Amino acid sequence: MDYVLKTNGLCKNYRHFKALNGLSMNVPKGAIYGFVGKNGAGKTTLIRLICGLQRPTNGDFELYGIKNTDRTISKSRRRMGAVVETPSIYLDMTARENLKQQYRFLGAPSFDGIDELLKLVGLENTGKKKARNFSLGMKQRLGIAVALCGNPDFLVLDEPINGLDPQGIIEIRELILKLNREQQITVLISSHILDELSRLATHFGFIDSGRIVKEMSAEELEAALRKCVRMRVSDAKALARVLDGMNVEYKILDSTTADVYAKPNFTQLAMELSKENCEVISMEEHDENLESFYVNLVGGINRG
Amino acid sequence: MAKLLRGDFIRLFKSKIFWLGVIFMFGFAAAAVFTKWNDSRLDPDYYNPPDGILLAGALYMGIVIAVFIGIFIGTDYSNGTIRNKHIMGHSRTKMYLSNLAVCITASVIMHIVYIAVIVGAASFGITRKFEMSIGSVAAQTLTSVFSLAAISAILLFVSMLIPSRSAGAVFAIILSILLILTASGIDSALREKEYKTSGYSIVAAEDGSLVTIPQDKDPVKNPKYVTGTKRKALEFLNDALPVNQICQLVYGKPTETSEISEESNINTFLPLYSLALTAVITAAGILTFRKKDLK
Repeated sequence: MDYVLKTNGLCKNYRHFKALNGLSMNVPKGAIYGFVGKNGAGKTTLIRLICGLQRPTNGDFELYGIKNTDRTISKSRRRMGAVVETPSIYLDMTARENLKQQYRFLGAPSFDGIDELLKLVGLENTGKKKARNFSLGMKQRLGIAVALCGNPDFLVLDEPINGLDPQGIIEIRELILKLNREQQITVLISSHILDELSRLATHFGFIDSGRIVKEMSAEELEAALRKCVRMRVSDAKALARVLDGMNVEYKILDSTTADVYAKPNFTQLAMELSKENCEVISMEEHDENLESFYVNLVGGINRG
Repeated sequence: MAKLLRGDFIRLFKSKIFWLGVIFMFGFAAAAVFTKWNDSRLDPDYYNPPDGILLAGALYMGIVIAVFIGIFIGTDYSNGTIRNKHIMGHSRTKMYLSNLAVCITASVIMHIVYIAVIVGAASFGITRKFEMSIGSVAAQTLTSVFSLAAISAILLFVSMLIPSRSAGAVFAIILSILLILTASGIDSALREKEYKTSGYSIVAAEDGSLVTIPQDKDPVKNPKYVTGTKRKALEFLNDALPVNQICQLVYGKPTETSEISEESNINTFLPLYSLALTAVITAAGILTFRKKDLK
């Protein structure tokens, strides 16, 4: 498998604080790599390192097979675009002026392609409106357009949906999927909004305390997410007694609801519940979501 | 580097803070011209050539440059656009040098606007003619340009290392004020006379005019007079520091024999001192900026 980015035991210390603690990860070519972790886990620090904004304290990484210590790393960086934390745009310029400025810094011979880029991110009708008057979603999309100016084949997005309204989130999601599917751009996207990432990513890297806890493809994750039956009953305590007696794994969610991780004989279960004067109100198949998978994963690691 | 210069210069000429600086220097020069014109109008016999105001603007321009550089560079940090340049493959050395070129150019343009107003006013007869020759005007202007380049390099160093726009601007302004105060302090110290009389009496002469008479016949040793190594160090700083250089251009080289030199005995190596200072500060800035963590 070809990898766009490979990191090897990356460490970054800010005085006595270890932001990254031996992080190793691999971003396959063509993937949408969801970089999952809570605030302060080290997501932005890793992105700063691969963008060359900061230097690792220890360890190294390869971008398109070129090591970060190699002098030619800046050439491989030309193949990437990034939006780190906040969109990097000139607030006193219009969307078009921002893209022109980026083209100048890139040394582009003409401004051809700016109209297409504006259309791609849905900012073709912003006219003379300055970027400072844009909504957060528009600024985010302009930031992505700026990052796309050099026709990168690796796009790094740090928390691109933070603070966006539902419509803004949908727009960014559609844009990322379009870039990945139509232009084969590899995307590394960090977020702590797990539900959104689960709709996008083809690969996942779970980070906690500056280390990758688990790396897996979306298929592997799908297989790993446990299926369960969510039961609503009149008395969850009675359900717990019965399931304990049947030696079935479960999780009580509230006084009437529980997730049952197995497929017991439901006729027998219903009869046992009836003896306890407990009614079954509803039963439905339920998948464990990314959020609970992550909580279990990180919680497990932390407990260990 | 050419790509960076092109982008940065276009940003400069679109920058409101730059044009505000230009307008401010124009207004400052116009006010200086008005004062000269008004003085001549009130007293036509008053000795009032515009030589003294030719570079007076440059003396305080450090503050204007500090505001400009602090905001111009700070905006690059606060907008995050400084990251874009690096991510797209530009080296930090080239980014620093491009910013230096832009900041020096901006300072020189503001300075030239000021001088153009003063020279224009003298040429069109609004003020009196210059006492000094055209060659001296050009030489002094050129020397002051080198001094302003050094001031810009110092202020850029500060702004590139402080990523906060407001903190960077405030620190740059404080530094520029400190440079002016240092220049003033050194200039005053070097102008102290070795001996001075302890006081004067003003008495009326027989013809009715007022006459100043020293109270003591023998002058006393001036405790503020600086000698030896300390004097040599102050003289070196007076030649090396850019605001001191402008001070010398405006008021003449300080000596103990006269409070304000009438003859120009200014060190012709002043531009070399400015160039050396610009090079040293820029090298230090590049080395520090290359190791700096950008956010």
